[in-house]
Parts: sequence; C-alpha cells; structure tokens
Amino acid sequence: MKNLICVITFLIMGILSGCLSQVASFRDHINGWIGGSMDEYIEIGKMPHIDRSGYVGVEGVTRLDNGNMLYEIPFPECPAFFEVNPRGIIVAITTEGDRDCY
Amino acid sequence: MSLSLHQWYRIGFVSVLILWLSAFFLNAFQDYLLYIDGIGGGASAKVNGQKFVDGVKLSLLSDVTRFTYRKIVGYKATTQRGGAAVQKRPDQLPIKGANNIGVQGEKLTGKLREDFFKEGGSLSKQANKIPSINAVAGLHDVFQVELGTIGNWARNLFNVPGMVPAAGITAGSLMTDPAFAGAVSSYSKKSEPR
Repeated sequence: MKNLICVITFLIMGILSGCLSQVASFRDHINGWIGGSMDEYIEIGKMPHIDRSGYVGVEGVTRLDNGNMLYEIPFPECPAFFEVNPRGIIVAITTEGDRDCY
Repeated sequence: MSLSLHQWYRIGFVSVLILWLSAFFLNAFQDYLLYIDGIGGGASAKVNGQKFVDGVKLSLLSDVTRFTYRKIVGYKATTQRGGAAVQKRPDQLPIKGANNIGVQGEKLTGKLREDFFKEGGSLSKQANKIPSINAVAGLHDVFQVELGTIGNWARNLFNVPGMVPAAGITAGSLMTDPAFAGAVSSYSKKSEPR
C-alpha cells in the first residue's frame, strides 16, 4: 500500500511539474514585452542566466533618426534589438533575419 | 629581495604540491563523509529493527539525489512553497525562494485569463500551496531552459519525459526532510485499512 502511495505521489508531482513548469517560446516572450518598460526588462536581465553568469547586460545603445533608442540585448543564439521611445516604453523588438534567438 | 631561478622553481613546486594535496584530501574527505553518512543510516535502520543494508542504501540514495539536485538547480530542494513569482526571461534559471511554478518567460498582464498558466498566475499560486511542487518545478525548469538551447523541438519533446527524473530526484533529495517524510507517513496511515 505504501509503495502504491509513493508511486501515485511521484506521478502526481511529475505530471503537475511538467504541466505547470514550461518555458515560453522566444516569440511569445518578446511579443509580451512590446508596450512594457525597458528599465524593468534590464532589471530582469540581472538574474542568473543559463550559463549561470549574472547580468548579461545591454551590449549597445544607438539613437535612431525618429528619436527612439535601440537597445541590443544578447540572447543565447543572437542579439535582439529593442526599440524604445523617449518615455522608456518598448515599441518594437526585432532580430537579424527575424530569427529566434533562443 | 631577489630570488634566484632555482628558488622560484622550488616555490612553484611546493605550491603545486600543496594545491594537489588539498584537492586530493578535500575530495577524499567528502567521500569519507558520504560513507560515514551511509553507515550512520545503516546503523539507524538496525536500531529501528530494519536491515542494515537497507539503511545504507536509503541514506546513500538520499545523499546522491540531494547532491544531484543542488548541483543541477544551484540550491537545496525544499518542501516549502515559494514566495512571490519573479518575472524571468525564457533563458533564465529558477530563483531560490520564489514561486517557479508556471510558464516562465511570459510577462504578466494582470488579466486573470491571460495570466492563468504563467508563473505568478492563479494556477501557479494554487499549485504552489502543495508541498514540494515548487522544488520539482525548479528542477524541471532547469531541464527545460537547458533544452531550449538545442531548440524548441527538444524542449517540447522532452517536456513530459523530463517530469520523471525531476519528480524522482526531488523526491529522493527530500526523503530525509522531516516535513516531507511526515507528510507521506501521515498520508499512508490515513489510507491504510483499519
């Protein structure tokens, strides 16, 4: 009886963890941040990454002709470019060749 | 003070020797502790009227899974629920003490339906109340994040199979946790026919 309870407990734990602990795709992630705050996004980047390094950081910032800023944010596969308006709101996120960078 | 080349060689040799001996004895000491713990588990089992070998096996299994969990996730497994969820990117690792249950990497909108499956969403908050689930989710998240570097296909393919080692390693590492053992024991007693 105890063994059965253990097996059932493991199965429930496994199924729950699998169903509930998934990771969003790169597209879903970046689309969710359009309209969000760039400062908040930079703050999030300070938490441990896959390579267990700390802050990956902003690799470069350039001013665009329309007055917006373009932030280059590194991802495992390639950098993503966050266009930010003067109020600090992300207005567009692009990648080179429209690639998925993670 | 200037040292001759010969003296530098001697300093270098002694330094390397000290480093090598430290590394050797540190590792040996760790193994030694593991064996002591195993023997302690066996002795404890014997005192409680069970087989010595079973106690050793249980103790070593618990040590190895606990070590594995800590090595992979970066912190110790716990039965306790996580605190508030912390917003993460999809390539970030679980955060110690935070609620890591739910879909990671999607921004919370504050809308119940849209946030339902996300970390910090309503389902995540409810599941977080179940002891140990946050620990299993933490390990499963590491698997998922690591698989993401191979590709989305790998993450999707190994999502379900990854549940088994995640639950197994977590359960093993929590075996000696009094809260976990107490919960399983009290549940078993309730379920046994009278």
